[in-house]
Amino acid sequence: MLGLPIGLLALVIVTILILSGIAQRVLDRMKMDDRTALVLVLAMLVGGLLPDLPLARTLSINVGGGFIPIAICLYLFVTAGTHKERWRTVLAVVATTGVVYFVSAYLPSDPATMLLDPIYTFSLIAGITAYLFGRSRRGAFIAGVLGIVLNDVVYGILLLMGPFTGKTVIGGAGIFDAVVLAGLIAVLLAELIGETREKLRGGPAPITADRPQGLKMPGGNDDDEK
Amino acid sequence: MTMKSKGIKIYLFAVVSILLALAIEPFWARTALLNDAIHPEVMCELLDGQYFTVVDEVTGEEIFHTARVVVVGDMFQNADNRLYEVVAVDGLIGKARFLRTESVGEPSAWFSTFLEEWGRTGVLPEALRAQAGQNVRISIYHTHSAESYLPSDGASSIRDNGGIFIVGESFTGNLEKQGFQVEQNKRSHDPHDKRAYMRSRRTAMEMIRQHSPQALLDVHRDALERRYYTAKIKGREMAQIRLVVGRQNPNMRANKKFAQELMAAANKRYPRLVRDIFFGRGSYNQELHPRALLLELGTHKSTREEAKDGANLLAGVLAAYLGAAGPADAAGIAREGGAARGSLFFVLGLLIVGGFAYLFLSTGSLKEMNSKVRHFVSEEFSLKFGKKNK
Repeated sequence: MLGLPIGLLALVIVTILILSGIAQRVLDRMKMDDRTALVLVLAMLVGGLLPDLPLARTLSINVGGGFIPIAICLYLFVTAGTHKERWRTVLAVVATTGVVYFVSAYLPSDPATMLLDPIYTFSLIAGITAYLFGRSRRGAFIAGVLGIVLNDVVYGILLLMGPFTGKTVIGGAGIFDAVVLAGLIAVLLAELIGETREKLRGGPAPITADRPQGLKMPGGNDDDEK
Repeated sequence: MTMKSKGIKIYLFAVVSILLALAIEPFWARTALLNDAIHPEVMCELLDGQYFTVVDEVTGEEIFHTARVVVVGDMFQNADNRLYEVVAVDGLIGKARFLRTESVGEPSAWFSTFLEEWGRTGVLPEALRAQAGQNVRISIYHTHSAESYLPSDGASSIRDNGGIFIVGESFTGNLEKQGFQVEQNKRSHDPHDKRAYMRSRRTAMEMIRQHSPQALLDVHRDALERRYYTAKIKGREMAQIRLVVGRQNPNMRANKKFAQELMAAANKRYPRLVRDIFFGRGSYNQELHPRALLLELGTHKSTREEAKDGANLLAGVLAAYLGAAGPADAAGIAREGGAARGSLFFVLGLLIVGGFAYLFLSTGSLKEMNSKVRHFVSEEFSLKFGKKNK
């Protein structure tokens, strides 16, 4: 964004840095070490600047905002701790996709009618749904990201079926896209709700027989590793 | 029944219900996509012909009309720079409180000079003329690609190809005549639903990426009666312009300053060309660029020619303003520093308040919070390369 006054340029840079910092901290909480998280955030930033990859006449994908977040989801899913976690994650993805779809299609369209701007509202909706069904940071991230991505895929297919000229790019706004924001907000919500619940209960949930073997350490939670 | 099998049954039930809902979803989706008219109240801001009227809470005088949804906390600044805040909304009537008269042109000294000289003569001041218009890039897109002008287009909404594209083209052409590099993106973001801004955000980002614009404009038209948007300027009746700034946007102060200066410049040269600035709930993708703005070029009851006439005058104003801003920067004149700093503090303040609230919620006491902050600082800011987090 050359050609902008220095103050405005600083504003743009700080916004990107803060978002990147949040993204790095969030990824860091999900089975990744600091370096991997940092590399992924940089990849998202750089990938966001690369040309979009076409998937169909009506649908393309951005490397930084779409491809990398989806790849992270696949990695997290494959390495999920328990069968139950995977199962819950699938459920969370389906639920999030459905809720985001219905909210976008059947509620008033003006941003003013929502308490928050659509971009944050969808991220919050995806985050809450994802947490309720996924109950883990990883599950929340996957559902947040894929909930938005699948809605874009449905949109692309519907456009393809009709005489329409529209087009969308999955994750086209890079690190500022709803795909990335939904994933990040979902994890932050999962953490916020999880910690608050634990606090209200006066400590971690008692260890019961059905808790997976790897999570039986006192103070552990769903995201701890085996 | 054990707790575990009961839990599995609940999940199974939820999955089956959702899958069933999704199985029939495409039919509903197609209905919504194919025929916007089925849910006019959903697809448009308000029903056709409906709009909000905002009155002064003291005098009862009508001061503002809009087809955008008005909520408490929204603000608007009229052409006399009087700033109002909406304090109550009942049905389609809002009540607003006068806050203050906004001062424009301070503290940017160059802007006062620009406003005075250019506003009077239409010629840029000598000091700002050196590089005016050189290498200025502007990006234009249309979130609501169906918006059209009823008298000229025969409909107020034409899917994927609204009359707004033609008015945008004329606006673009006029800016190009001033020597600017202007890119108009005619991608459709229809239907006019809640995700329209999410889709147009991608277009906006693509334009920022490829074009590095100094201003990013989302061009719309409003949906009010023609009389609210028509003025006689330079002896011709033409469509007036409203500037819209999103309140839920970390760049708001920078965007606001841009809007205020643009309105001041426009109305100094062509009185009443810009009718007002509306500060509405939402971000309108304006956090993507510190000089992002949403323009309402007339209303659906304006003719396309009226909208073009108004837009073309605005193109001249924008050209002079951005042209003058360039050399002002080059000359090292402090510009937009205050607004940008304000926005920076806003972003950082939000982060601190959010972080504090989160910590308090998750710890419940100041003592525990303190120990957590210490732990956070020592742990989170030391990158543990190659070591997995436990």
